[in-house]
Order: sequence, then structure tokens, then C-alpha cells
Amino acid sequence: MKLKILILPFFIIIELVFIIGYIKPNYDAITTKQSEITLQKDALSRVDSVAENIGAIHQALENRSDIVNFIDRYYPKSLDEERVVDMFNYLAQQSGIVVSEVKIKKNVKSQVVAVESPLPVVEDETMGVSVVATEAPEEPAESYEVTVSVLGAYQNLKDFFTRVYRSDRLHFTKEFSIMVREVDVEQAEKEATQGIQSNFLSASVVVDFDYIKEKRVANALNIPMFQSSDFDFKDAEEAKTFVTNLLPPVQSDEVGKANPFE
Amino acid sequence: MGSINLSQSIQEKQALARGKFFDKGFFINATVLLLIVSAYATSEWYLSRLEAELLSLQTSSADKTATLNGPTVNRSVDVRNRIVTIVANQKRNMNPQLVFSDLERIVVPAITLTGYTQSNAFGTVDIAGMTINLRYLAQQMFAFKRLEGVQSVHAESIKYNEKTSNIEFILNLTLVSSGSEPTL
Repeated sequence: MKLKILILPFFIIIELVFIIGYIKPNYDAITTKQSEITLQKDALSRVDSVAENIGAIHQALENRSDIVNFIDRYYPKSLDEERVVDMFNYLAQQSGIVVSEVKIKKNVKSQVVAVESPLPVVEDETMGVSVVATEAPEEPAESYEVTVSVLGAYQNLKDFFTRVYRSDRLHFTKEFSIMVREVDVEQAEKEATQGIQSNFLSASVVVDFDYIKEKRVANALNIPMFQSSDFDFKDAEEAKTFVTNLLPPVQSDEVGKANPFE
Repeated sequence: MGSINLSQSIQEKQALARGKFFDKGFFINATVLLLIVSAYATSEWYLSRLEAELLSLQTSSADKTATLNGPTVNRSVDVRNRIVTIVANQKRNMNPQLVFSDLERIVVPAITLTGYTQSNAFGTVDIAGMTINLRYLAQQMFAFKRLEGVQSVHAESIKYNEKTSNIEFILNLTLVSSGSEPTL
């Protein structure tokens, strides 16, 4: 009979041990896992959505190749000194002025506005994997400085500067100047034969031209532009409208010579 | 006086005691314990199922996330970044038409300019010119000072040229370094 008295407390203790020691932690773990699964499903659906948006944006860029080509031309990926030399020659001809000197030097540091993280990155911890670094570290654009000296009448110089301002090549005009030339009679006569008139002013413009190579993106998941399937071309359209002096592409009419020194 | 049941044998007494040990209460307790153990087993099974599901989702997410890069993504981001830079820099350049129209509007007729240098990098303008009277130069300096976007006007040099009988001068203008497009 004495043993029977111990049965009820024994069962209660065993049950409590199970409930507190095993079932409760499992219940907590289940709740946690369920919320993790919900988060994971959301993240997965976001990944799917971003993948779809990448496709849609790519298609949009394909459809607007005119704008994309303009962007590539306007802000190129590589050094394009030949194009800039051709540009100044073309614009000078259009303005009726004479190019007297062109100096080009490589800049150590970019002079364009440093765009602070055009596409801010948001960290995401809901993913089971580490998706933090989405873009390569911001590298400054490379640039070169071109100093062009020209001769021309005041109205033509004005026209030249305006054409440079609206040319289809990203640039930053660091300095420009116009000077009255002091020419003696003998020199004036000599210049007249070359089409340089006595009322011509000398002018110069110092311009920085930037270029930047395409960067590698580590992961698109947290890049804001891929949270939507639309690509906004408004700014690009405005930039294209701003440019009124589209330059012809640089082409070689003919190449090849039997004696290059003759 | 208490009575003793002498009719029961020792074996019967033991059987009776055993029967009382495994009574209804014992079975109820055992059933509850069994249910609790079952609940624990079920929770263990469900937990392992959830863990498997979570692992599968994580693997799937990791696999899909790893595909969110490559030339298509690079190209799209590159185009977007270029557009942002272009817009920022187009606003930074000054419009020469505005500069020259301001200059034409503000120069005193008795003044002849011989040089004009605008440095956008430093926000300064150097103007060289000549006139026949200092009064015209003073008027010119006042006119420049009143121009929007000009912070200060400093006369770097003023000298009389005996050869030409003109007063030659160089003025330094400091432009306001605001976000607005500098004029002149």
C-alpha cells in the first residue's frame, strides 16, 4: 500500500519532466522554425521577383537601344582621345574657327561629380546565405584633360563654346578664356594668307573628359533598381534632349600605305 | 473488539493488494503519461520535418540568389549608373550663352575688354581691359558687383599705358559657390 501512495507523485514528476524538459523546448523551436520558414518563403519569392525584374529591365534596355547607345557614346567605357580630337575639329569647323593647338594629358583623379552610391545597397539578413556585398567597391572614373587653343571672331567663338557645351560627350569645362591678340603688320599679312583675319581673338578651353569601365555586380538582390520591373529612361531622355550637337562617328576613309615614310 | 477474517489465505491477501495497485487511477495516470510521450514524439517528428523544409528552402534561395549576377545584371546597373553620373555632371557645366549674354549686357560702352578667363574649378573670373578714364573703370566694377552670382570684385592692377594713352586694368571676380549655375 505504501508503494501505491508514491504512484501519483511519480507520474506527475515524469510528466512534468517531459513537458518542461522536452515538449516546451520543442514547441518553442517549432514556433521559431515556422517563422523562419515564412521569412525564407518571402525571401525566395523576392529572389524570384528580382530574377523576373532583371529579365524585364534587360528587355527594356534591348528595346531602347537608341538611348543605351547614346549613353555609351556620351559616357564611354574606355579612353577615347581620338573621338575628342575629332569632336573639337568638327565643332571648330562648324563654328568657322581655327584650331591652333590641342594638348592632352591624363588626369590623376577624376574631376566629375563623385556620385555617392547611385544605387544604395540594403543589407538583408533574411536570406540563409550572406548577401551583403552586392556591388564592387566604388572606383573613381578615369579622365584626361584636353586644352584646345583656337582663333576666331567673337561671335564664332561664342558659337564654338556653346557647341562644346552641348556636345554628345560627357565633359567638365574647367576653364575657358578669350584674349585680344597683339599682331604686328608683318604677321597680320602672313596670317591673312592663311585665312586668319585681324579681328580674330585667341581663345582656349580646358576640358576634362571622363570614362569608366563597366563594373561587376556581385549580386542584384538588394540593388533598388531591381525591386521594380520598370527602367526609368526619363533622365536619359532629358540628357539626350540636352545634347544638340551629335557628332559623326570617327571613321578611317582609307588605310594602308606601301611606304609609310614617303 | 476487532474481528479478524481468518477465512482469507495469505495468497488471497497479496492478490487483493496487487489488484488495488493497478487500479483505475494507475491506468489513467499511465494513459496521460503515454499521451505526453506521444506529444513529445510528434513534436520531434514535426520539428525534424520543419528543419528539413527550412534547409530545402535555404538551399533553394542560395542557389537562386547565386544566379542574380552576370552580364545582364552588370549591364543594367552600368547603364543606370552612367545615367545618374551624366545628369549630375550636365548640371555642373555652365552655359556659355548665359555667360556671354551677361558679359555683353554688363560691359560699360567706354570699356574695351582685352581678356576674359573663367575658371569653373576655382570659381573665379579674371577680366582684363582698357579705358580712357578711371571713372568708367569704377562704373564697370560697380556693374560687375551688382551682377547675380558675383561675390566680390577685386582690382588686381590698374595702370596707365603711355604708349596707348589708355588705362589698363585686370579685375578678379569671385563667384558665389552655390548649387546654381554660375553666370559670368
